[in-house]
Amino acid sequence: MQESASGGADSDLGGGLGPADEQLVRIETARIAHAKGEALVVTVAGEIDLYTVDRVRAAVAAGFDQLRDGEVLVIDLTEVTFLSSQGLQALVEVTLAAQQRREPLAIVVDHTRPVLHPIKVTGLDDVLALFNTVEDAVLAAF
Amino acid sequence: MPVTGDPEDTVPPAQLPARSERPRSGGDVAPPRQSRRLLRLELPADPIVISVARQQVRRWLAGLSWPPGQLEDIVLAVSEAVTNAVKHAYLDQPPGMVEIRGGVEATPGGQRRVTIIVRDHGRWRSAPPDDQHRHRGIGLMRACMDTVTIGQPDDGRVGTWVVLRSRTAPPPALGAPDNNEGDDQPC
Repeated sequence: MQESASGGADSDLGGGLGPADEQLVRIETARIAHAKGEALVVTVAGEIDLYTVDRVRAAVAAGFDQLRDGEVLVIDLTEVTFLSSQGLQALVEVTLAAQQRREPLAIVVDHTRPVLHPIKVTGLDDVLALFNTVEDAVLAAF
Repeated sequence: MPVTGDPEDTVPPAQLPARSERPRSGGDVAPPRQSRRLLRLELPADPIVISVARQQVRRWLAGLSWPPGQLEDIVLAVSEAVTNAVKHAYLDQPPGMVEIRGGVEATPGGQRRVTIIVRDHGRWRSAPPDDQHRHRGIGLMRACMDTVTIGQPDDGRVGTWVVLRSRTAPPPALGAPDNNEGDDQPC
């Protein structure tokens, strides 16, 4: 299942100023079944910065809308190569939104520096629900 | 609005020092020697160019054989500074340019560090105390660099500059690109 919402894709600023949107960030949403339960996984690959962060927000918002009862929403960042303060802010916001909606939300990061380092130096590893793998995230939710 | 300068060339042609006014034969000429040690970029203050700034700074530091972990820290700090300029500098006026200048210096004990200045010509705005997001960006910069100074340029022109001074790094290994230049001219 491809991502249905993509803010920024209709931007008219792409005329040669920089790389095309899809070169910077690619987002896919897929439903996966696990022995313990189901997860809706939003996989982000590439760079999350001021220019691309709205696409990430839109994909996560669409994920909330598609979430079925008993499912966990997982944001998989293991293919993210750059995470800015805008990306951190978005992760905090979607975490708070999930708490308000009483929906389970998990964020998957591996030990690669581009994602984990900004999260740790800003102390957000205490705020975000972080897991090493999608499987760990699903297991923790059920 | 075009990006100033060829993306393949760290030094925008308009800013090349006099010594580089030699004929350029075709589009694939090696950048002048100084460009390995000096970084000069001028980009329109638009969100899409932040990734271009990162790419150029990454390439410059790789050319200096900067240690990978530190390299990513510096790229992150520059990205945050450019983002602030893009978001805040030209709020009530037509978007202007963001300048990025970098240089390397030797430090006592045979180490080296880079200093990068990110500058805009917009309106000076200090971060409001309750702007948690903006303070997180500044906190990221401070975590990634040795010192971060944010203020107004001392040449009397309007705008904001962010002076990012890296932690020290060991000199490049023998045979690394930076040593093959044979150019120890300080910058």
